[in-house]
Amino acid sequence: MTGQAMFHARIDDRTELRPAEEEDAEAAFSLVERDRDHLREYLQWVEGCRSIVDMLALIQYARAQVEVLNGFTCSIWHEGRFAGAVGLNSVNWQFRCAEIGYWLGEEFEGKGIVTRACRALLNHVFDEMWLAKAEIHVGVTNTRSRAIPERLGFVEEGTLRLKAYHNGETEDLVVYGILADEWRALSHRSHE
Amino acid sequence: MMFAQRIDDEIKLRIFDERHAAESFALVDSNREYLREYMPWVDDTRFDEDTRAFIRRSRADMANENGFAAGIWYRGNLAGTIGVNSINRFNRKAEIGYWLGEEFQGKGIMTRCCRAVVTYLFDDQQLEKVEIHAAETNVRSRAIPMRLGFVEEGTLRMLAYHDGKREGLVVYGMLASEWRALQGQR
Repeated sequence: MTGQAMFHARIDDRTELRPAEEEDAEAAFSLVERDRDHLREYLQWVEGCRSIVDMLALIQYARAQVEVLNGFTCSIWHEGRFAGAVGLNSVNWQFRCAEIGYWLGEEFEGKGIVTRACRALLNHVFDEMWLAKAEIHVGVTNTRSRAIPERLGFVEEGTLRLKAYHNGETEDLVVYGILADEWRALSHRSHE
Repeated sequence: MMFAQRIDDEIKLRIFDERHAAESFALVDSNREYLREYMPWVDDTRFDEDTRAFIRRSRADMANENGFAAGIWYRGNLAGTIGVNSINRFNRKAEIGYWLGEEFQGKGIMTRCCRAVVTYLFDDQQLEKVEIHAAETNVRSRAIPMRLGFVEEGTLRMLAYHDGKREGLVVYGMLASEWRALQGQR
């Protein structure tokens, strides 16, 4: 198992990130069931996730990505409850770039959890994996999700038309990017 | 795409077949210095067999309906390649890639080929969007989507290859509705 698969972080005194495991399926599925109407708007997989077995298959798929060095997924645990997930998708080793993705149950929003999770992930991506760039891809109307890369100092690089999922249709996709040097400069400044 | 398609009196596209490997390799080999600036795979293409492997992969992609690679014959000589990658049936989008040997530049060959392939993707494959990606400093390559009326959608930093370094990748996009409107004007 590689270092990137072992990513584990406590992001505040009530919240931690742990590698997604098959045992998480039940807790993850009950959150999806409870928040289905909220989550299905921008997450394409929610529609097809109709049972714990479906959720298990999604987790197994995410774990298989680790084996082929394509990325990894962490479950977010807040006060001992499953709150959502954050991870790294489609690692492009030729250009040393990867995409960060995340989702959170509605009741856990507004606490800065995803922002802190992304910050921990970015430190890992640049300091441990030595990637050159991270991207976040977001549907143009998904204001809440777009606030994350904007808050973290990502640069808006373009709007790719009709490439994001929104309620069963496609909408424009905003690409945000941050380079290793930019992240180091920003984290250095916030520590001063 | 048919196995062979006439574009006009001068140009014919043929889906690559293993029997084209030697001819295709010879074109890469005689344009090595010119092509390697933006295409890192050129340095890994050292023998006929490497080109044959590329053709085999492209035919597997075609069988999976992921795309295709075709040779461009200009007045009977192989001049370059045009291909379609990453066809996404859910988003109904695909990406076109291409290259030409140096001596075939400046004749409008690639513009004509791209126009035919874009029309095929919208009319026959019923896609909604076609993209062309080009390195920021690759002026010749960028001229093709610009000439065809594509919209510049963004520059993704550090995602293109240039002489062993990385530079911005410019994404150009065309929607089916835009293409039909443009064809109506022609």
